[in-house]
Amino acid sequence: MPNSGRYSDPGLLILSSLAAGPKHGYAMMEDILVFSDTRLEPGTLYGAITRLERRGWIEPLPSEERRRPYRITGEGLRALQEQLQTMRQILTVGLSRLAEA
Amino acid sequence: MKWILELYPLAWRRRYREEMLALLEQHHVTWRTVVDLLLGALVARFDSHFKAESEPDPTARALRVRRAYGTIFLAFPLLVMGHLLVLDGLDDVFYHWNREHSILWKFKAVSGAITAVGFGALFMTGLWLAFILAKQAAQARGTSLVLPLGSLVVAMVLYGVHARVPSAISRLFPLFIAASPLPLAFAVSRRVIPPRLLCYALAPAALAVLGMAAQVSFVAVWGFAIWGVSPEAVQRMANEANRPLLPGSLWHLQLSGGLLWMALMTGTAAWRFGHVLMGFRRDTTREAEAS
Repeated sequence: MPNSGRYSDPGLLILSSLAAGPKHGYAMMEDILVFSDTRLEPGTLYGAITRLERRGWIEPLPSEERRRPYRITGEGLRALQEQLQTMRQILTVGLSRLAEA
Repeated sequence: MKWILELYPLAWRRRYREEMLALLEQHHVTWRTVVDLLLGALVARFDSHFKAESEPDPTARALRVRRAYGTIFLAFPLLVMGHLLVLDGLDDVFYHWNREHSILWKFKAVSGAITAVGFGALFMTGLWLAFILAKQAAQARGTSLVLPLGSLVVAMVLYGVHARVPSAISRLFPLFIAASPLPLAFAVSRRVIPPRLLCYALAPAALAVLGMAAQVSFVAVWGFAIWGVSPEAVQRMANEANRPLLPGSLWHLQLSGGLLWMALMTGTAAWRFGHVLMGFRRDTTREAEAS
């Protein structure tokens, strides 16, 4: 199937990754690559981590050998749920319209 | 890759540097990674959150800007000395040759324009800051009116002294030199202008340094072009123009010495200005201790 490009927001990808459990930066990048086929570069990753942390959707955990894991907060889980529900609605409408076209 | 992280704001580095370094040690770094990090540094620099936390001590910043402007203020006249030493009279000698090789004249025109724009901007900035100083002095009934007015008097005197110089550009440069950086340098040292307003003065300083670099580049191009021409032909042209050059290889020495001098002055000014832009931690620490 040809690559149609990326439709993913880095923040959404990070929240989705952390929904499965705390991870540090590199682990997030690898997990995101597996489930979305999207390779985030470190600059983009930490730009999104900064924004998510500031919103209170993720929080840092104590560092382990210079690597700091992050975990999703309750607010982050609610935000992720809202965004995915909106995307599901878009998905449903889009697929039904494709079928009619 | 550590050098790229130094481009991020200080507050960002304090928070994320170690974990980013740990990630980069595991990550396969490509050109995309470098570009991504550079863009990330740029975005972080404009992030108000990091900007607020990274705001250096106003005293340290003011001193750093003063040193940068002071360096540009001193370096430019010295650069002009090198320019005159190198090119004085050579325009006449190469007039006919340059007419056939117009690219050098075009390059000279561009580099001269950049220099003029840079120092013109510096001049306007200096006038604006002098106005602010004068306004504050009038409100406070203080004596700081002496500073902007004094610098303008100095500028007029220098202008009068140099008015006898035939070159039209030479008549303007002393005015720019004395009238533009002095109000800023004194205002910064006395901290009567909020440091945040100093950012408006950084663009003219950047243009001025760029103009100096353009002049050095022009002389380097011209110098190598002259070097490529037959020395006998150069002497013949000089005799025809009635502007004899230094004998033998002495004029090569004149050319090289003038170029090195100009490069040294420009490099010093650019380095000091670089300190202002990058906010080097070492410079901040030393100036904070000095203050």
